[in-house]
Amino acid sequence: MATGMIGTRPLTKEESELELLYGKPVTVYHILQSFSRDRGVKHHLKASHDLFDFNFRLSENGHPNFDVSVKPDAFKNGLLNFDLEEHPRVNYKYRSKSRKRGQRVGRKERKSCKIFDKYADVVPRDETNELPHVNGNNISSALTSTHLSENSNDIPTITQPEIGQCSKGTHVNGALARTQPEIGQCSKGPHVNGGNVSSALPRTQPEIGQCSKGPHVNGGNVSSALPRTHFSENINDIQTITQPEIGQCSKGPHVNGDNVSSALARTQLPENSSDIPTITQLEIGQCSKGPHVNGDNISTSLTRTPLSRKTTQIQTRTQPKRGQSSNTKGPDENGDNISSSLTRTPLSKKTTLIKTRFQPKRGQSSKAKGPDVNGTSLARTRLTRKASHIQTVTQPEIGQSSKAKRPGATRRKGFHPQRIEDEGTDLLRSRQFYHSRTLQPMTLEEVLSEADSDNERDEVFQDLQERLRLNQLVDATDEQKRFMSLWNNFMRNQTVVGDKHVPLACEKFVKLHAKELIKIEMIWQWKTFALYKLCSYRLISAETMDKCSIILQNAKDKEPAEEDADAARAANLAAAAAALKFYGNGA
Amino acid sequence: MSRITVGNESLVGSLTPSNKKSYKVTNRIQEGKKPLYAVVFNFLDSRFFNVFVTAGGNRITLYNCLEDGAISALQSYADEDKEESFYTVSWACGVKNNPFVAAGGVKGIIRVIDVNNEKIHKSLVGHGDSVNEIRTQPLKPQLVITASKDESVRLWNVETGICILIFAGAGGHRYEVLSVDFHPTEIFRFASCGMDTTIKIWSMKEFWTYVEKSYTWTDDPSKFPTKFVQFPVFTASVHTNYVDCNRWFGDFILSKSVDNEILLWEPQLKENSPGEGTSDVLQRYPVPMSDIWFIKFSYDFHLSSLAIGNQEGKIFVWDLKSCPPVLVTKLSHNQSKCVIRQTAMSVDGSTILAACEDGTIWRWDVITK
Repeated sequence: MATGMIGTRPLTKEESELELLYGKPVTVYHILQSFSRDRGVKHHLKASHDLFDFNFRLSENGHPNFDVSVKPDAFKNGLLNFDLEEHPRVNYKYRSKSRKRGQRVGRKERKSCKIFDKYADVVPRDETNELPHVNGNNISSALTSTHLSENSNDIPTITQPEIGQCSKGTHVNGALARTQPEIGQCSKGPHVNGGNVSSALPRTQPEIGQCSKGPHVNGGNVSSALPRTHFSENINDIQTITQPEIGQCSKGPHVNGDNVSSALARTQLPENSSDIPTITQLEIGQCSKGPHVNGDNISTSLTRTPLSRKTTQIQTRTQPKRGQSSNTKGPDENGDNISSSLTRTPLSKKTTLIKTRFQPKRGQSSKAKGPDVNGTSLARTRLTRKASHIQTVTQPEIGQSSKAKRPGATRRKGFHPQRIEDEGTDLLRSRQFYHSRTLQPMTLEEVLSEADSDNERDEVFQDLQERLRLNQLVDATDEQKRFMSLWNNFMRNQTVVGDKHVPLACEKFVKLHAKELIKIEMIWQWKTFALYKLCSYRLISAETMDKCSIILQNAKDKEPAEEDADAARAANLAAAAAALKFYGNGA
Repeated sequence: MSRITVGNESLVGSLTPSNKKSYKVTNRIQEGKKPLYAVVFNFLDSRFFNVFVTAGGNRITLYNCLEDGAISALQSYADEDKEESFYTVSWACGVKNNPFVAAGGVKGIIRVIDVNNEKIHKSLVGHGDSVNEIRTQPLKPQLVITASKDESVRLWNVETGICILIFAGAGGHRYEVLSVDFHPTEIFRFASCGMDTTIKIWSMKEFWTYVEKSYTWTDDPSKFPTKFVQFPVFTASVHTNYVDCNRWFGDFILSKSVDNEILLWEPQLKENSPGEGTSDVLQRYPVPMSDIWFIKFSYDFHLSSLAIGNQEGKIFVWDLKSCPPVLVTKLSHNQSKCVIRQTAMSVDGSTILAACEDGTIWRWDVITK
């Protein structure tokens, strides 16, 4: 039959010959056609979820794309309808460390990403929606991990997961789990159809319409759950990114709508190759429990996990409630700082909480994003080479607008220090903070200044406390108490720690309190103290005594009273002599 | 900390009115549905001795008392937050002696309204909970102290909006502070009382430099070095229940708890040992049927008589200059059945206003014979 498909040019002679020999070649178009007819993804998807609208089309480059858009009534009160029900929690066994802390993933290349790179052309697919006939032989076997290399067909076959099959270990369809089945993509690399098991996907492929815990691959995304296994072994294109089956709800953070980028999520692959693909790509339509970002905030979602200490369940906007501040009745954080919420948490903060909040760092997407990740904004940065094929479809946000909307990460963002710092302080800029003791509003510079007021000392108060304490002494005279309080306060402020410091401290003390010490009774206190305590412990010598006396003398000289000076001088001399003697004796 | 000296029995007033003066109702205004919690005449500025302000719901209203019992409304301010409920209001002044009204309520924010320009001059933020009373220092009318549910008393400068001192801490109140009052002649001293049944006398002498600094502070108010005063000069336990109103009477204190009487007592402080002292109850003024808290009394400018309302809507006018106490008159009206939260006496005592729980203001004028 020289007739080709509708809309294409007639077959050439060679082509028709080939066709006779080998049967009709499966082409992208054909597959796409079949998809869009009764057995298209659309229908599968539709069956499973009614949150999303799908629009299948071919892009300029001839790549099949589909756009996902969230249905307008998908949300009620700002929450995904699906999420309003209770879902069992995903049991994520693997959590990338850096993601946990809310850091941006992907600072360095991960092993798995390398793999992805290699097989970047291979489209991740989700078995569930694949047509059996297309995969022909591949059905998986779920078990084994076939090396992708084995099946290297150039044909981009979409391995359909056996529908209904639960693959543990899944097949990893070569392709990155990205949702789009890149149908017909020419495989750059072996596709693993059906058969690839990538080891382990720990997760079962969700049956269509099924809700799988954990990342699961959706309809088109093959994202195999992160293979627990040895990544390296299975070549996987697998992306463990579990693309949530379209329509499936995946627990875990998901990004709505087209945040397919969830792909990001995956990046963590290398580290844990184990289970989890936490990245649940949310794919389209997925409702995943966990913090999800509305509409297309993928970017935001990426951002670090919210600070908020409260693990709230669903909030479409993750409000970062920055816990800060003092317990004041404080200003309320603005309701709609979502954006801010979405912004990253400063790297340093721990996101201990929340499990729910994993915001996959979107944007980090695994590197090897298959070339054609359609549309969905997955676009993750690492898509790298095929970046061109990626089209980001930004879903109009439902509800909020996120302030820090990251552009579809079509290029790798650098780690510019300024940017990191700014991101870190985004939350600090988001609302009004108050001082904790006085409850006065803080200015922005105060907030950013990182000054720590915990070590502030109220000297006046401490002096007072000391005085009150000494006041309780029953057997001390008032002058003694006064002297003691003077000396103690002085010592506390000076923090004298070594024996050698004492003479200096004495001189300072005398200088500081000269006016008060000149009084007859106080001078006596000083001398007694200096002699009986300091000298007897050999902390000061007669020289110091002398110096102090001179200081006192000078101070006194400014006083009009002459007699006092004489008396003082005499007393000084006597004291000095006594000290000498004492010291001399002791020596 | 305080001991009531034995042997001196306090004199109790008799509830038989002497009727030396009598009052009649001359006006009644219904302000709204919300209870009115405060009514205060302006004693600061002699031009406005007839102007009073009321606080209730989210409104602050200024009125003028005219002759023949007429009352004209002058200005009204409403907080845009409908949830706000003002509990207290006080007159203050700016540095140019322009009148201010300071009001605070459940939100904990004190609004300083510039009455001449009809706008908010400052909003004083800082209390952690509702504000129960605001009083102005008559000698320096830019200073107000506020008593709050957050157990602290704060001293503010309304002209610059700075919180100068916070009186709370180890020696401070242990429960809501319900009332504060400045000493009439000693500028550093004030008394506060609260739900912890104590009345504390505080002194700001040590920190007077900060007070002065606050007048000239040009930087951000939140950067002002607000100091904490943790220890009062004296703590008295003359009551055994919530003390919801205290006022200085010269060097004595008139304070009221929820046990149906007002006490006049003398704090005897030991100068050099703060915290020690005695309190000596001198007289008791019974006020029947006033055992709910947050009922405040008032007196006229010269401290010759005191007016207090009760739960039943009656007003008792006591003569402050007699010993034993003499009840001047008891005012009641068959339509006034609601709790009277606060009374206000005009400068010469000829007009008594009562702010009621049902949002009405009753005006009683003296009958001149």
